[in-house]
Amino acid sequence: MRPEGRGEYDSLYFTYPQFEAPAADAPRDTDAPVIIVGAGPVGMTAALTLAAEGVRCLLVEAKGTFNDGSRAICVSRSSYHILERIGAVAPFLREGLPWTMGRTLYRGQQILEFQMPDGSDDRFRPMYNLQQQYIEAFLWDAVAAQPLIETRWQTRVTAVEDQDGGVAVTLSDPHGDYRVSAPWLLAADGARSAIRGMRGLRLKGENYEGRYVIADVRMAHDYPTIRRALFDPGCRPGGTVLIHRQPQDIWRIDYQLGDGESAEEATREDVVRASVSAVLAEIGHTGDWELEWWSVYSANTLALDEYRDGRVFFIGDSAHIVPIFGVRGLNNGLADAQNIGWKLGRVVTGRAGEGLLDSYTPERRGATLDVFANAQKSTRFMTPPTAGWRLMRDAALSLALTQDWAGQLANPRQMTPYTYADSPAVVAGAGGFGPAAALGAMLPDAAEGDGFLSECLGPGFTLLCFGPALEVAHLDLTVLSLPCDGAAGKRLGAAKGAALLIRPDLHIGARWSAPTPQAVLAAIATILSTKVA
Amino acid sequence: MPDIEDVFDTLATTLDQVGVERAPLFLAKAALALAQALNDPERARAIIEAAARPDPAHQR
Repeated sequence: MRPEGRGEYDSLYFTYPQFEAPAADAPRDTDAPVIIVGAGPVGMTAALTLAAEGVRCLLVEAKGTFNDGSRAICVSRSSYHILERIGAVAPFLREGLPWTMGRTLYRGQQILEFQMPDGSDDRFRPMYNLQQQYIEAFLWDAVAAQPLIETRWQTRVTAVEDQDGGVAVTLSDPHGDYRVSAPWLLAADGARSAIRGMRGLRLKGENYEGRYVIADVRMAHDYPTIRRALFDPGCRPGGTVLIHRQPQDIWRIDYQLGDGESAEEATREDVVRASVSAVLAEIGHTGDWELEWWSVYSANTLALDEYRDGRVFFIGDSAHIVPIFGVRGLNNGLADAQNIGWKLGRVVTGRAGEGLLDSYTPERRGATLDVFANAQKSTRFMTPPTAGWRLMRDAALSLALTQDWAGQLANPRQMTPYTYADSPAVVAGAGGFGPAAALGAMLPDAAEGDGFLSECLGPGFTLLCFGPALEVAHLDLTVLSLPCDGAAGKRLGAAKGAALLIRPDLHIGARWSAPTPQAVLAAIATILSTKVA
Repeated sequence: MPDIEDVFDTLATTLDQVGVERAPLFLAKAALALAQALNDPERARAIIEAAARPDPAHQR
């Protein structure tokens, strides 16, 4: 919502572009092998990942511009790696506000200061704050420059049906309705996914009681980019407040509503202004501020049982809704997009068997369930659902005023990438590495030469040999030789002569203490669901 | 059992000092801090579960 007198897209600092529907006489048919529904961050990342694999797609979006309001704001290190892989990270590095630290206060007193893992071996910081409309604008610049992606704005899906070897969709734009079909469809159409409804599928899980108002304000406020969490502050007794800095002097204030406050009342402009004013007084901001946008939010952990339905794949919020506290909604959506992108890209171009697609649900739904487990803990702490949880939360906060161990209970467990340990698209084998290089884990970065290990990787699979490069040739494989006593070898705990197979999404697909060309080719064939070349 | 008798006395007098209203928070803090000091999560869980069981007399 916006203040009275300002339209839905009337921002204090961001000019929303207006994208036209295809011209009345423009051709409507397509022979793209993939249709992507939804041009939000997830749909655009999927389109760019497919394009990087040389695969064309038709990207359709019901709206004529980006999402209103800033919505998702925390972009994780793993997401920066995804953006780097699709060649879009530069503007994110330029504009995003990096952060590494959080502070938790109870009744005005600091009880916890947490540091997220970070060091000179990491190319990217653990987290960056950036408004969602910038995320979409930067991705759109990359999409618009990519000839393999055809985007149709103001184009809504009104029907979807299976046909032999593909999916047919009915599209509706201001000029009329028409039908197109493609072998594959990616549903990136968000929490209220129309595709999900048309397929008769439902999200399952839990809704939590606690509700928050999320407000963005513009103000000149002198405080570093540090996540602040206020428990039981004077401005909202018994409630919780979160404060994040964003670019352009925009600050995100999240505050919990009390049991007696109705969402309708709490989202009235004068009530929002009074509530924000009280929070700003609490943090010592005495200067002017302007209200940009607000919304109301309650925590859910909801997911589809299966992320694939025939030739339709659900990616991002259409497949899962997670609480905001662990900042995993957008970040997991981008990981979904990359995951299906590298796999489908190889299937469509004949480089992988369709069996590879069977690993999408276990890997990405596994990541969602892992988020649920962590998010449930942070949500219960942020918003205790019952008298018992509230009493124990208050006991922990009260103890934390004098004892550090109790403050750890307030740690928000921020986003870490999920380890695909049991996936069909990893190959178990002998070790040769330390715990940082677990099978299925995302490859930790390391300072190498003048840059970073992640910059040396090939476009597809990469074999990291800690010793002489193995003599093995495969069209989708880059072989690198690294010293085992270098930064990467040390961080990964590499034994001399050991090797790691890195998948295109930077997850560790196989490990050997004594690799052979046959074993490497067999592992790639297993992952890609093909026969050994 | 002179040692546990001291603890028993301290709990009783402290409960009276904090009053009925603050007693649940006080007991929750005391239980959490004692469990932390015990440094044995398995045993702490077993003690908590045992304390929640109804008295044998009430089961008849």
